[in-house]
Amino acid sequence: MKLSKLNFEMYAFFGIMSLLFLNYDLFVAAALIYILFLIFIKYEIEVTTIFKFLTYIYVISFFTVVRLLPIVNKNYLPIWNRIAQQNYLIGDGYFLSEDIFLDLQLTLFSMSCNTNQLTYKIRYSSDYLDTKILSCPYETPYGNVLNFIKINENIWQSTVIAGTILLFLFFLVYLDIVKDFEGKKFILSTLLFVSPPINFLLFRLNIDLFIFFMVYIFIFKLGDKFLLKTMALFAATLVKFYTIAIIFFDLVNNVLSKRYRYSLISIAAFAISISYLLFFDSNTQFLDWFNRPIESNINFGIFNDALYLSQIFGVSWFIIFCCLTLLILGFIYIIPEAKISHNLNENELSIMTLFLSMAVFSNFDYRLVFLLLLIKPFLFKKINLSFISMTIFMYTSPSLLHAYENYYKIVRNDEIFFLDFSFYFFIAICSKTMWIKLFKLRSSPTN
Amino acid sequence: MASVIVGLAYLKPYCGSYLQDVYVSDFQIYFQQSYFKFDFNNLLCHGSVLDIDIENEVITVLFNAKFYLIVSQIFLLMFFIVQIKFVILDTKKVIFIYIFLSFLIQIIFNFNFGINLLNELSIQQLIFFISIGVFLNETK
Repeated sequence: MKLSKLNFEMYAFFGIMSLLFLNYDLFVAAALIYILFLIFIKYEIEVTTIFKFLTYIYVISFFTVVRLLPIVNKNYLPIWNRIAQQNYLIGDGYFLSEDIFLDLQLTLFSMSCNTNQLTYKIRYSSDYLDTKILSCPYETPYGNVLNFIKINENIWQSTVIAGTILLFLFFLVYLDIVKDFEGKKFILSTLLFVSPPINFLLFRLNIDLFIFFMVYIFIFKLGDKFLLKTMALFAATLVKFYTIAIIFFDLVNNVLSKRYRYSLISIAAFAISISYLLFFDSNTQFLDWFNRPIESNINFGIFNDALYLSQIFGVSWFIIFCCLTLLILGFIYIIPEAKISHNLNENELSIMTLFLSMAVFSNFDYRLVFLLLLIKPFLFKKINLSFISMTIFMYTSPSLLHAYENYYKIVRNDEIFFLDFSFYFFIAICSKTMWIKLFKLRSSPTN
Repeated sequence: MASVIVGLAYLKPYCGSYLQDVYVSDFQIYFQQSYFKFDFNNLLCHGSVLDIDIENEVITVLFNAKFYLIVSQIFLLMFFIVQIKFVILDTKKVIFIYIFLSFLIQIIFNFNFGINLLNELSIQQLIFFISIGVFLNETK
């Protein structure tokens, strides 16, 4: 009886993992149901060495092989489409999934414009973009520092080389995080690594992946070297500003912990970062991105939702913003303290701060990659509410609604607004955790 | 639930075709916003087709964003909060009620759009409310 149970769960897992390569949309639905099954069953699942080895093969194939095959041979482009979620639609329902590593191509092209590159045709564009050829000057909405980085290489070749390295590095991060887990924890953490926001990131290879590696290496691997960590965060802030939230967390944490020498370093890094952000025009243009509603199917953010809802109900976005804040406070009120994870160290709390700061504005879902760094503390003991809510939130971002193009008939979907409660619930959990860790435990006499 | 299906069938001659009846692959769907003034004609015919432009491949559908949002999403949230704070139910009942309510809303609002039952309301919101609801329910 026990053996057949084990077999069923194992076969179900590999069956669902196979869907990764056949139809990613179906994978998401099946994986979500399987995750719930794992969360609520009371018994443990045995994960053998062979099971782990097979899982690693599936994951590395999904991260690298199927993404690089179409580059080797264009006939494999249909595979690239199958591993894409249907959310990656732009332009009135035209399916543009064949733009391989699009964001990386665009970033490299914008940097090549700093030399003598003039035009570039995106590979491999679907018919919709065939006539669109990029020309200089071309600026990506990232930090002004990119205007000073010059590359004079073939864009496509650089994309392929950089993309391959980034994908393999990401697999190494996966190995490093899941290697100590057994049983259900191993399966659940693996499923988070192939969740929609991560697939979205690996699909586009946005420069956020590079920032993720910086945070992972300099905070989680070399975090005890505070000056080095702060320098790395400052460098990341020059490219994308959101890491300033971690610098701010360090500042507050150092002040509260009375580490005044470190506080001075954090204050200097924070002040220079803010000056950099406000000093350059191209940086302030980046801030405009926060001020426009982006489709809820590929985006998260309270401000973004407030803009959408204010359009629907015809009231000020500020009133809606306050209502959504009340919703979060309501969730904070109903969440029992004992059900959330308390095993977070300073580095992990800084990732929570990063998420909370992002959650205020508008962000593309692939930026949720940073939540992978919370897997370890959330699974430190038993599976808890923090892990469940994070998993559901990640598996429904980008939302399922827009994923079912084959089954769901509305192809132009901007007008259906989706209020993602799992997002607000997870914000509430992070806020409550931060409050407990930063203030309540610190002021407790036993601590 | 059966009475809702019968009710929708009864309304069909009155409201005309729904999107699910006339949908043509690759056509773009545009929503004609109706106003939320408790105009039941508009509300009951949610999802009915107003115009089909063959030349431009566009279908216009009657849709009320406010009503859709309130009933399909905010209503479930209200139920969730009441259930968590004030009602003592066993886990099986909680799961049954969420599935029932979600599918009811699904039939009223999404069925007319021709949307398969495997979409956000039956999976996404449902999974959130059930999993978090059950988890919190166990603590009471």
